[in-house]
Amino acid sequence: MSVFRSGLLLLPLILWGCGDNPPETAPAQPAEIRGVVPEAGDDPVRPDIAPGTVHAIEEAPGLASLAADTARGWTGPGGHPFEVTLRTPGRRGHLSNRIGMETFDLTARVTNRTLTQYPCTSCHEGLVDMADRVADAHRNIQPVHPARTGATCATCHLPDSVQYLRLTDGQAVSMDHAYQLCAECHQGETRSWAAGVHGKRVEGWHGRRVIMNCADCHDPHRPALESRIPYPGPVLPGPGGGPP
Amino acid sequence: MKPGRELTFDDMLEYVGREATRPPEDEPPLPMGPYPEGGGDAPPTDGGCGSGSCGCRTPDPSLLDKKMDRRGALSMLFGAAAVGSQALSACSPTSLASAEEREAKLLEWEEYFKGNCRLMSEEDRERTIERLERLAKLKDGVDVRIDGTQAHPEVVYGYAFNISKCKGYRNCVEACIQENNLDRATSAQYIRIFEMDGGTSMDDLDHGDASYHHEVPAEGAFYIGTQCFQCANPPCVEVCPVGATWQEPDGITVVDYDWCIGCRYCMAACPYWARRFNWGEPEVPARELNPNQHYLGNRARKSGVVEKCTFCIQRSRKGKLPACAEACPTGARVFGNLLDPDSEIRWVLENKQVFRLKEDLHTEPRFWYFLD
Amino acid sequence: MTHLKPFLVQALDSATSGGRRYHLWMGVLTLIMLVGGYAYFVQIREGLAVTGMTDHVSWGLYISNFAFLVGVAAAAMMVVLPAYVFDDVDFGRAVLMAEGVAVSALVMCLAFVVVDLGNPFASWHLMPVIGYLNWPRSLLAWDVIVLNGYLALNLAIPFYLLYNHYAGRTPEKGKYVPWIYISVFWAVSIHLVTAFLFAGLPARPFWHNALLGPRFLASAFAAGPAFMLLVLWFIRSNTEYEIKSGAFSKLAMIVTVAAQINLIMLASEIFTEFYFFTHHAVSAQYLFFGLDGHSGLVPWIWTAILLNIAATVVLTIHPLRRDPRFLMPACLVLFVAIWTEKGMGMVIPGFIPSPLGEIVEYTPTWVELAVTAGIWALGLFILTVLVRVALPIELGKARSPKLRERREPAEVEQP
Repeated sequence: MSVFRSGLLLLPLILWGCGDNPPETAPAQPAEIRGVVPEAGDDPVRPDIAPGTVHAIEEAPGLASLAADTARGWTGPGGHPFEVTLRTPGRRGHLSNRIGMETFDLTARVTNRTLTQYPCTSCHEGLVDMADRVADAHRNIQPVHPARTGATCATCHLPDSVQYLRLTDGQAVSMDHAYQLCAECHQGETRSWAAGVHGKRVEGWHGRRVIMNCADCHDPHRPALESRIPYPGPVLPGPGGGPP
Repeated sequence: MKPGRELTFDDMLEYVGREATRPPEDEPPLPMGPYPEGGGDAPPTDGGCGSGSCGCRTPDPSLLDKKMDRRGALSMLFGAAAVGSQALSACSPTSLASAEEREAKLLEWEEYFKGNCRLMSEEDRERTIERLERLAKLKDGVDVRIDGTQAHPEVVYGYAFNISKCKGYRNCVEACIQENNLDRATSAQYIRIFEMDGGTSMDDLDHGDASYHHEVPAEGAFYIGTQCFQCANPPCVEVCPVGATWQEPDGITVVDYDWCIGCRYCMAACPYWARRFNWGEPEVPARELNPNQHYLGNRARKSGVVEKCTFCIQRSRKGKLPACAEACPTGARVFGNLLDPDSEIRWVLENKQVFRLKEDLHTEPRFWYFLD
Repeated sequence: MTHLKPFLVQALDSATSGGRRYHLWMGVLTLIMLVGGYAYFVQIREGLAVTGMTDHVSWGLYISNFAFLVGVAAAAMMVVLPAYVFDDVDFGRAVLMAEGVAVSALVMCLAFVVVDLGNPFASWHLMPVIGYLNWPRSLLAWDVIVLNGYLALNLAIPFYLLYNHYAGRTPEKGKYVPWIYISVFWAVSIHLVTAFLFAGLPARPFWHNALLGPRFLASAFAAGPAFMLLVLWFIRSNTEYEIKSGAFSKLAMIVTVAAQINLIMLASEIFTEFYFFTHHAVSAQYLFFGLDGHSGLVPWIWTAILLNIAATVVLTIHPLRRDPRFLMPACLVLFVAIWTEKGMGMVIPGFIPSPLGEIVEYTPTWVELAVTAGIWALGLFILTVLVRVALPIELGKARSPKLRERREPAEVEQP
């Protein structure tokens, strides 16, 4: 058993060694659902579609080029496997999406700012004494989460390799699968997340189910969403008149 | 980007790089995002249209060959009259009517006499879409793609809103305005987010405030959003005297903007205040226009007709999430197919305690509220 | 139809000739119509944005007037029924005037609906074969049918009678009495259908009550005959056309009873809304007492109620009712009071607050006021013309010239 464990422990290291962490290809899923339009009735107000026409819903086009990996240890509604988005070095807002002409940053605001120094191996090699150095090197890290929970860096990070996370049983997990670590305390949230009620599904309601990772929305060191000024609200017409 | 080439990851990287250094405004559509098909189009030609040698499309000759029904004949007759009068005025020295203006007039006449979208044949629908695209080009100089995708028979859309998640940022509102080409002149919004004091009954919107403007989330407040709930038993559809609004087989209640007479009975009938009226000509700056449109969705509206939320029919029928659901930074919005037992929306309905607004009215909204 | 051409010539002649006061009256009406026409032109050009209506209060002055005038049109039945069916001699001569009132009120109704449309050029979509009329599901489709049908009936019946009188014949009862029966039921239906137009909307609790239809009828049978009394009194005191005082006292009685019932219903409505205040009464609260500092309609509704009560009291006291010096002002006051109460006081509060609780008040703009005045002028113009055409024929002054030429028995001809 322990051999198996250590093998698991090594697996991510091996994977990482394979280069720039290439996104794993997702298991093939049907790209579209198809159906045949039933006979058009003689009701004059129904759409006049020729009987037998096949209509297909395509998969949302953005999904084709999305970097994602199958979630481990979790399944979505109906027991179906799903994928989680991958964080990719050097990219700001990998899920940015154009809606109209506005670009909405769909990944977490915090994620993109805080992970500028990713991957950690660009500075850290091997064991790092993380306890004291946080404030010096990572001014952007505000350790609210550890302060509240009494955790130390090593509670979550693998002490001898900071870019891996450490489960309570000592198993190492890549940052791309951080939900496995989050799930250890936040079980209810993770269950909802896997079911699609907590967190966000990316691109489409149909086709490949890709959902965002926990840290895409929550800064792991400071998980609460920040308060900010909202987008403009409605303008109610004043007394005595409609719109100008 | 060449037409037909698949989007690659590098394209996205390139996009991100460009996005960082704000692209110039007149650049052709970026090869990124939900509209990759836009990248394949020829870049819009600017100016020099008056000469007639710029390659502008002449009216499709098939328009003139079509089999005529009574209305068709009428419309041709009026169209000819319109062209005739234009030709007459062209003889006078003051007239500057160009070929484009005449073509636009003809197309407008044909549009005026077209039938109710619901009763149109597939052929007629394609033709009106062609006309509308051409008119947008002729009159406003914009290239739009109007989609006519029909409902999928195995899909009925449903929506769930997580009250405990919403933080009142109104990203959904903003995304909706952009996506659906809402009138900027009157600041039309389909979505209302109500700020409610803690302890208020969740459906007591009278005590909510939708016009809040301060840092959110406010201490002790919770937020609840409304929009069109796409009722399964919609009172607005029942009352329309001309059948200009109806429920599609996938549950979306739509409006045929060209058939609506503007009586606003549907607005009086909606218990959720989901419908909006174009009191004047709606204004959308050309550079903010979303060119990816649907005939029953976000295409250009005109003065004096009713419009409403369609769950972003132009997106959802393409398998994508509505703009509000996609833009929500908190994940408070769940959207999916009610007929798919393994969909997220079904999971919500089966595993959460849900409620709907004004259920006593028996409108059966397909929009549920729930808490974590 | 051999007399048709002289009939039309005669009609045109009656409508265009008259004294100075007549021409002044018609000139003023024309001027108001022109102003209204210009305002409507502005509205067509700019869209309904020039009105005071908003997404919150999406119907305003136009639909208020429409709802009120349907009642006036329907009230013609109160004269038609006894006159034709029961052969009530008192009403005999008043009946054509009543139908004239109905016709002009209906034209005003249709005009108010048309000016309220955002896209009036598309109104051909309402026509059954070339468009699509959502009948029987939409109450507005019902309303289109019943209003136009009632207009047709009220044009056809008087035309038949007048034409026959003009041609020197006695109208055949078998030919018009069945239509009169139909029009009596039709009159009730136009009013109930219009009430159902509002009452059928559960989205607006203020309208969604069973009393709305009956209250529509009661107020209609008060306001309509009150208006008719004014018209008849004017005709009697200014022309030689004799209308029996029996007609006046009977009409006054109808007005009185209807006004009393209307008040009882108002009281019952106020009691239900406010004895135990519920969420559904917020619109009523806005109307009668104001809501969250918004009280635009409060002075109007209380003025209307006070005028209503005052007029009803005057009408209820027999000696006062029998005296035209009290009856006529009371009728005028009642008419204005019901117009306020049922127009602004019934339609507008239904929208305030909005179904989501937002409060946006409504004030009509000059465009709406001008268009409304123009349509009222149009209605009075039509009424005047109809009365002018009918009077000489009914007085026997105008007869077809062909009668003298041919000296043929009139019965041989079939219209």
